[in-house]
Amino acid sequence: MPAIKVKDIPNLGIGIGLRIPHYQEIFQNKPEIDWFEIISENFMVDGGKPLEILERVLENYTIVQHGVSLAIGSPDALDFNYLNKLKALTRLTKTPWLSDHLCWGRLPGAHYHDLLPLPYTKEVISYVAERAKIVQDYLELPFALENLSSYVSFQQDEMNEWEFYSAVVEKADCYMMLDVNNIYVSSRNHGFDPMQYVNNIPLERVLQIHLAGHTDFGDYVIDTHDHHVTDSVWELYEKVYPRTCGVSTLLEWDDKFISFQDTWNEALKAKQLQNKVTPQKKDDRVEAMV
Amino acid sequence: MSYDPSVPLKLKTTQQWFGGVISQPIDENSLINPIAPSGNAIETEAPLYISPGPKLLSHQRIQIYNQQYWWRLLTVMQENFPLVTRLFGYHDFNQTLAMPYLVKYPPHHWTLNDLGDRFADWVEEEYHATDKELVLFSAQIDWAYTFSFVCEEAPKISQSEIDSSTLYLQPHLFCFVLPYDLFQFRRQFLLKDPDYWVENDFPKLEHYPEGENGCFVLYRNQINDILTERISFEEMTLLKQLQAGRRLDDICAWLEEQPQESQLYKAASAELGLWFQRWAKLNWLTTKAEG
Repeated sequence: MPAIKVKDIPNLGIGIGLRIPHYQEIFQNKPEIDWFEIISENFMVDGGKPLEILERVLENYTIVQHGVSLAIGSPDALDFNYLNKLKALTRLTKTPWLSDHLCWGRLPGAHYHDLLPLPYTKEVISYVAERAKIVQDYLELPFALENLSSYVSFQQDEMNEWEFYSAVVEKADCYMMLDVNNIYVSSRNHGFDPMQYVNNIPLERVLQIHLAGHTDFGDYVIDTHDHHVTDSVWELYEKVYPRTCGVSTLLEWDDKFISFQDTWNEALKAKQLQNKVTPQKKDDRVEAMV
Repeated sequence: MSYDPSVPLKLKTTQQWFGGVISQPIDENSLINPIAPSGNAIETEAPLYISPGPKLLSHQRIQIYNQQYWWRLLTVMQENFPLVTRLFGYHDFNQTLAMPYLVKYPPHHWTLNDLGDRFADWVEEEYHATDKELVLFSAQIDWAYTFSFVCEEAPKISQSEIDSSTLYLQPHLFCFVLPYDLFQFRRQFLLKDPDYWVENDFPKLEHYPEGENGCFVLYRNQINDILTERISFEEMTLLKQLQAGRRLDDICAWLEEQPQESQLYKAASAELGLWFQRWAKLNWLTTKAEG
């Protein structure tokens, strides 16, 4: 799928992650919200309540899929049983795009259920980009890779994260799911300037932004998704968003849940910031991609 | 699954080392094992792969992933086995059961729904305390809830198919024969957090009279709720006949071989048709073999 199709990707507005503690509010009151993001794997099941819930949500809302188990940089062969299930789910949800992380997470026979960082080397770029191409072609949808929050860097690294991330998505000709909180978390853990990151990635490839809260342990910061978005991350978002062409933004909140309304109110802060700034025109971004 | 032939050797080697380190059990203070899987000190081995950070040393940095690995898996185990977790409390559940289980049976699939699929087997094999029976039944029941929540719905059976087809049980149906009403016990137990039960007396678990058992079916209904129902011993006997798939006429022939004075023979003679109709209505039966 050529990257020029970016012009067809809609800006859905502001969304939040669809999570179990909010189901009751969603079904009873059908709150007005632009869209929901689901964790694909939560609904890649053979039957039962999750699929029933999904079908009910789809009656009233747009859903975008975000995955956690593709593990694109793992050393084992791509799992086409997984991809088949993922593709089947995209047919059900009619997701306009889907995303997963630029990470690895398993070895043959072993699954770590985490988003593990990759060494930033040229040969890893080639390896991951080739697999990302296959995934995007197979799924027949715009596919975005998300930057991680990371807590280690490798001795064999040949470049910094933003160079690696940029090279992978450009070589694969896929998109960026830019997690602004992850940039901040990694900047603290690795000691770089988050704006240096932002200034050196192809922002025209960003098709969605993630926001979330984190936990600051002093010596390091963990991407916990269980707090409000910090001021530092909002400030970064305010600088990033206008340099995209106005892309869909999503708040992730995955633990120590607050009410649906409070979660939505937190997400709406993004809309307030968006109103303060003028995004790049979409046509400009399309030309940049071409 | 096998290795991708195009994976760079250095990447593969690094990932094998990384995976080995983060899946080693953390200690009771959640600290990384001071010895790496290679037998070397982690403090000296980690810097060969991991750069030190602005504030953390190499082994302290990978320790974060080691902790995340275990905390995530233990949380899933606690969620999937809420009754067993309450019997032990969080600490003992983690240390006595969940961690040893996960060492022997580490995650083998991309979905965490399968994480506990061998936990009851592990209890059977490895847990030998005096409360083994209760722990094993509890693990089996917790797993039945977890599995039934997301498993396949096999084709429903029509009344007309009862007479003509080989019948099986739905994948979401589990049969239990118990010396006590563990389902009622579980409902009461789950009203409070595991920490509460560390400090307070457990709900009363009343045994049935000597020689009696309670027969229970756990199943998923038409609106995907998980329900339990106590049934007669005779119904349970026939349902178990269907686990491997049987035709109704085979069941009838088998019943004819039973002693005519037996309760099974008498009850089935009177109720068999009604039982099958009810089971079909409750969606307990299917014509599709499991798997």
